[in-house]
Amino acid sequence: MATVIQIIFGLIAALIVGAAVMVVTVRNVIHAALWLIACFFGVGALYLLLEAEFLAVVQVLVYVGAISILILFAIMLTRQVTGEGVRQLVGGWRLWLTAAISALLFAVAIVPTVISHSWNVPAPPAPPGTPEPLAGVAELGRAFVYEFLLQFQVAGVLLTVALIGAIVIAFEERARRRRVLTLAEEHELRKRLAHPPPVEAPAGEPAPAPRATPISEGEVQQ
Amino acid sequence: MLANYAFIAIFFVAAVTFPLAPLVLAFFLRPKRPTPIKQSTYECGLEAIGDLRVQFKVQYYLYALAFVIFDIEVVFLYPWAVAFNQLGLYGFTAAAVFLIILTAGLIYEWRKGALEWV
Amino acid sequence: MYDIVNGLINTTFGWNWPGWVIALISHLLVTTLLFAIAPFQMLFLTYYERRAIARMQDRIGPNRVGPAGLLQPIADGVKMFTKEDIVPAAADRWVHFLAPCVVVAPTMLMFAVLPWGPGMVPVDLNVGLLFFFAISSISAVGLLMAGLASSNKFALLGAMRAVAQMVSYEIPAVLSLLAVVMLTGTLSIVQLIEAQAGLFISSADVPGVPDLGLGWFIFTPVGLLAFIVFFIAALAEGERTPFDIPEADSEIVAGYMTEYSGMKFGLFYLAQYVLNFLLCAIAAVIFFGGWQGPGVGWLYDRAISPANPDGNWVFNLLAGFLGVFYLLAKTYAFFFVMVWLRGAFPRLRVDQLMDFGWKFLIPLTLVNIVSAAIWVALLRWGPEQGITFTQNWTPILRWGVAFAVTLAVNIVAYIALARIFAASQAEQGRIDLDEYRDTLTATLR
Repeated sequence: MATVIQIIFGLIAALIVGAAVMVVTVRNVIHAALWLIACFFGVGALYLLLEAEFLAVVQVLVYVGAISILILFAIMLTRQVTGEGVRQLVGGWRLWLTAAISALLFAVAIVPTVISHSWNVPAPPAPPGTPEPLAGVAELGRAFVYEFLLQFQVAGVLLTVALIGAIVIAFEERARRRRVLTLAEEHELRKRLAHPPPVEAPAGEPAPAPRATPISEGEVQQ
Repeated sequence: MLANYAFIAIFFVAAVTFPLAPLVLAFFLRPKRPTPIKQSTYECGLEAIGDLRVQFKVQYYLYALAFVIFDIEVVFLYPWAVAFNQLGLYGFTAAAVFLIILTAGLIYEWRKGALEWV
Repeated sequence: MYDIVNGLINTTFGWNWPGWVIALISHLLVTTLLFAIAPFQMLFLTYYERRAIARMQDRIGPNRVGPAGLLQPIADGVKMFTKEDIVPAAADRWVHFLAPCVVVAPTMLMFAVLPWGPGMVPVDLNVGLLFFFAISSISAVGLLMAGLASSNKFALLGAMRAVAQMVSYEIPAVLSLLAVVMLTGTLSIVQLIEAQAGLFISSADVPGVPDLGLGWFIFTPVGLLAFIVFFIAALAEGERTPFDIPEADSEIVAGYMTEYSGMKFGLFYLAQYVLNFLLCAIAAVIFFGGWQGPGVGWLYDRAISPANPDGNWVFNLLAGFLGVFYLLAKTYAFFFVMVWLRGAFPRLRVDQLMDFGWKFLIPLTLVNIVSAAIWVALLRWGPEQGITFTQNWTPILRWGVAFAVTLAVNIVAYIALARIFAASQAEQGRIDLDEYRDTLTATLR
């Protein structure tokens, strides 16, 4: 059984790494985004392999279902999609230097953890009678409220701040936009322009006769 | 427990092959006579005019972002809802504060007019 | 399924195969069965829809191929297979090819957690409900792929519309289910159905209610409001009229499917109908008890099950048939409502669609969550949860008070939010008109 799981892990890890490499090497931005989605999906499968089913489902729900849409929409806001003819910021030896520095920084972050962590320690055998530690969702809910209350609320504030920030940055005031009216609204508008509503006209009375200067079709078209 | 996931894995493989099977079958059954006219982009009988890459409205992005934020909110609330029966008033208050913060964001968005599709 | 295969191989034949082989065989059998059922559901639903909509429009509908036109979907399928597959020269070939697969595969994967009858669930995940909706959200990526790869304006527009719509209505759907999850305290779909035993009042809420399999959530005020919101959201997710803006054929040809022909188009079509079936089925499961109905519980108590290993297999068969019958009856009833709506309503405008989702349905679901909290607090909580005044009430009194309070809250919330929404829409229309008038008068001068 353990070998089977290791083989599956290897396959999923290969998928994740391969997709990640494709993300950074493909020239078409849309393809890169799609490879990134494949990568997200692989991470979800990895969570499932670790029996963290809630996390796996959340990974799919949030990353594959939501973040990926956000990324693709962001691409749609840009004009240039394929990378042909785009000048890279750095090239040649400077590119390699940048890569080396990035790798070094990442190594600084990851190597101490890899070295200090005690790998391959079998999980302590659970005393008989303990329930399977898999009903995790309810425990997570309790932990949110009792142990991680502050983090829980801070997450809420953070999400709201993100929402407000997006509006502040991206939102155009409506004065600068024009809306296309429906036919019914345009008709209504023409009527209003042709006859400004009388102040004390009771409802239900037949419409007043056309005034002297109704707007003609041609004028509105301009 | 892993048996359940094994089933999901089998089902996943089947689900991925499921759409491929008719495509492969159709590959052998269908005619294949491409012509340049046939392969041109469809545009109501005319030749395609203009650039495809129109810049979409930022509204799409704002909706997607609001969606992501509410999606994450839902993800936070689901464990709380599962445990809700045991949490009591304290747990309810905690989530209520969380919800109020996010609802404030929604109201701000609404008042600001960012939820309007123009 | 495992038990049946196990009984057949190890008990009847006495081969003593190891457990994992039997599990594998039973899994493969279930998978094959479900993947055989799904296309037939789609074929039947297309026929059903065409006949029903024809009746509503005073036509007859397909009636030539086979008895009463029943073989029409098969003929359509044959046509799909033999049509030429035209890929535009400007298209992104691989993404164009993958898009229908990415749309279909998640839809099929959603079958993995749908229970068909008592003890007849492919796999009962602890997070089944969330799994269902997480998987359903993947197909949005497929739609966007189709739009992007076609390099066609209509396809791109349709895909953007489709995804914006799915994205906007997924939140109300998932939030309305949150209220139901609060009532049951579980994400397992099987336990969700089991909590709906009873007669009008759920057996889980008041002990001693006779079990006729009718304690559905739809009978609680919380469940009713959640169902209304969920069904509207399901219409939008399944791109049904009045939410069929993404493929509005009078505006943008066929939306994201514009550049698809032959079997690839057929796959999109398949995904759409299977998704509609699944959404109807999950609505039936969550709010209308799924396979619960009069008689199923009684039959299943006498059948072979983990709780009752020495039952009679005849009862398994009967309970299974009755359960599947109830589920399919409810599902087709919902699908009929979908068809009916298609016959009755015109298409919404994009801004109306977005406003309705964000400004009305989401606030409504948020109130419904509070309502669900009140329900649980009055019905289940005791002093240790901080509620003391309900201690001496009888269960039925608790249920009655909870019902009255949540009903009042929901009705007041519905009226208030509807008024706010209507006022905001009217205000919006007024501002638009004023603005347009100003520009127009400026032009005319």
